[in-house]
Amino acid sequence: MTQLDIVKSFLEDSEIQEKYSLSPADVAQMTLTSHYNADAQVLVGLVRQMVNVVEDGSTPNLAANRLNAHLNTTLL
Amino acid sequence: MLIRKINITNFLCYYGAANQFEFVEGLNIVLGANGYGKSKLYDAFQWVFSDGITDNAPRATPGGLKLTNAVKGDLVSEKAKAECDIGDSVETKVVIEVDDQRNGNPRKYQLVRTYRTRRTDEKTWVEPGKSEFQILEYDIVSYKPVAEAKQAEILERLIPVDVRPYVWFQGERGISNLIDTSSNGSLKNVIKRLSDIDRWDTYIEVAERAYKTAQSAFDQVLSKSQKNQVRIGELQTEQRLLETQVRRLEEQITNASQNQQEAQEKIDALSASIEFAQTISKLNQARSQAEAAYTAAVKQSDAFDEGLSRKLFSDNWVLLGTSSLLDKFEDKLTAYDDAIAIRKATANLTKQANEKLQIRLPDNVPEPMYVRQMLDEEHCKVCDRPAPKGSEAYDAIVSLLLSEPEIIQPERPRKNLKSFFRQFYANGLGMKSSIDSINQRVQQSIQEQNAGRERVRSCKEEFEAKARELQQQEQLSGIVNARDIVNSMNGATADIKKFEGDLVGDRNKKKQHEDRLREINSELSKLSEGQVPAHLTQKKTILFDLMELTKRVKKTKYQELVQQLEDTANTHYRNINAPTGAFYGTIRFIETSDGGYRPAILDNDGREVGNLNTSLVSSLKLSIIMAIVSANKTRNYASFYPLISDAPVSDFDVVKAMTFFRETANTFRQSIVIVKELLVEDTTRIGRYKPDLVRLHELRTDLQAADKTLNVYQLDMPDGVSNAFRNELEVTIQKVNC
Repeated sequence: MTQLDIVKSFLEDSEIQEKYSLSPADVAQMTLTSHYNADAQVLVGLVRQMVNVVEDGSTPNLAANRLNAHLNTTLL
Repeated sequence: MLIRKINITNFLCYYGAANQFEFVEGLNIVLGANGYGKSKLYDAFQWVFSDGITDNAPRATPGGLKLTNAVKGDLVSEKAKAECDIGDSVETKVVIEVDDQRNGNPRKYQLVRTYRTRRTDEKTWVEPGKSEFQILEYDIVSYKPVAEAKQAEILERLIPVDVRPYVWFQGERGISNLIDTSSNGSLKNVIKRLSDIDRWDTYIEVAERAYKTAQSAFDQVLSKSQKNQVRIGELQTEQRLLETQVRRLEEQITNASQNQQEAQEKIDALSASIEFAQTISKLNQARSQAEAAYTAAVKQSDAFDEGLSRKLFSDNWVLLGTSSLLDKFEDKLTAYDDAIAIRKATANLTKQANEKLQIRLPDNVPEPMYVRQMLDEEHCKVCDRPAPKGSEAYDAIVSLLLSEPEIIQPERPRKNLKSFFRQFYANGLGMKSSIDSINQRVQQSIQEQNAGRERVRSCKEEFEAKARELQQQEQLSGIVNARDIVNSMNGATADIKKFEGDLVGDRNKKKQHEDRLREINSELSKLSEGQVPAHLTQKKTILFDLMELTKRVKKTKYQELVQQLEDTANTHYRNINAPTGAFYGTIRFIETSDGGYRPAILDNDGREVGNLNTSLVSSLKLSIIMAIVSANKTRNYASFYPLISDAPVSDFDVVKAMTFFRETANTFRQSIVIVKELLVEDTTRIGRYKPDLVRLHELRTDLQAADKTLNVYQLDMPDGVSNAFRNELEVTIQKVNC
């Protein structure tokens, strides 16, 4: 399972798609560089970051800190 | 990994060094009748990879191994040992050649395990507790030893320890060990062990920690805000309280699930014996009742017998047959009366005679007493003259005395018992009818006594029969604590219901708390507007969404995995069973309240089928094993690892065994199946078998159509050799052309 497959696994969730205005097609056609609306982009970026740090084998604490840092950068 | 070759030297029943199997990519079948070394071939693989052979001890864990340090010299061929001279050694050696074709970098290895034992005298051997293990890697032209430090890594790459039990297993015992169809936890454990489901737990943990950090930062800033301080304080207090309660509920849910699972495991463990235990418990009850009935019957019979003794007197049985005595008594009584009358008459007559006698004495004759006095005095008082003895006068006086009549002393008066005897007779007459019916009463009592004794006998028989039946059941099942088992089962069943109730209650409460937490979060977000930097609010919101998302995705992935496993298992199950024409149903993994899954067979109406025969249960388990191996796309075990199984189809008929072979060939890239099926009696050799070439040819044709290869060996023994004599035991290996 590639990292992109795992990211897609998260974003295939219908509840999250509805909340962040993502369509099933958006997710199905997703690539590593796809862009979406602002809110969705933040979420997709966060999920990518999470998959990346977890699959790299970071500890949960380190991974959690990385996600917070990522959002601080993205949202500020 | 592909197994290319195995060479066995002096290992168990494989004598000498010329024991070699060459395996192909495809289906490899090794045919062998009972006692021809099938399990020993399987053990050869286990010994090389795990340094142990199957532990056949009755109490051994199914699938458990007995390691070299415990088996020692028993690993060595008895025939080789018998031929070994004192001072010489016997070497046991198994060499497996494998190809490791993963990662686009094919490698060839030889795995070599060796054990040496030395004979010191006729009966004594030096038997070390260790074997030697070596891995050789093929390097352009020859095999070269691999450093010992790398051996474990290579073995793990060839076939991981946690995968081995699923692709290498032995008979029904091994299959049962892997998939316990009665256990809720079994499938859950299998899925956890062989899937990447744990990966999703890591995501949940990361998202939760990230959210907590964001929430903490948010709360810190919000608590310093100037507006709505009171409401914010209230909400934050409630939020912390609810979060604590949710955590506590989660712990309670986990505990209740574990307790429920433990209770279920207890039930599973007891389920094999509960039927016997219930029967034994009922038999115990029946035996106690029979014993009580027997004791009561004995008591009643003894009391009756005691009553019979008393009846000798209380019911006058002692007078039995004395009725005629009454007549005799009457005669005697009459005789008595007569005797009395006679006696009276006689007395009267005597009296009258005496009176007459006295009257008859002459008037001038003195009374005899005076006569005697005169004789004594020798003087006649009548004439007042002497009458000396011998004189005429004296004789004249004597003559008076001679004529004295005998005076009969009057009889002493006797008591008249007539009235007593009359009363006695009257009493006798009063008892006459009772005495006459004694016989009838005795007969009746004897009948009652016999009935009582018959009751005792039948109660005793009943009691002994129940006791025997109980003993047989106890011996058959080995259960001596039936009541404990039944009580434990009842307790565990009650526990499951209780924990189910707890789980429902706790889950509802948790959901309510989580809903309220969302409301609080939403309200706090609104109240924080203008007071907390927007990015902190946004961060908290999106991380909360991420945390919830990871939980949902894990649940979805788990369900997908179970569904995928169920679908794949059904495909294998259908393929194995459909050609037999018999009923087989559909596999369904039924979710249990503790989050586990229990495999079941459903009929066409979707109803669960109970009392499955062993053939269906075995095919169900084999299908699940195949599904676990073939459904896992991430690891793709079926491609990476060969199936090695000893006697997997022992519960199948030949038709079903054939479908299993086809399914195995289609599922696994390589399989080595060691079976006794597809052998027929060899009429040209006594006690020997030959391959069923017709079926093997049919199988080869089927596999060829699916582009699969069939490779067959037969385990045989030279004519005249018996597997009853271990010193002569020698298995030969023959390639079968079919």
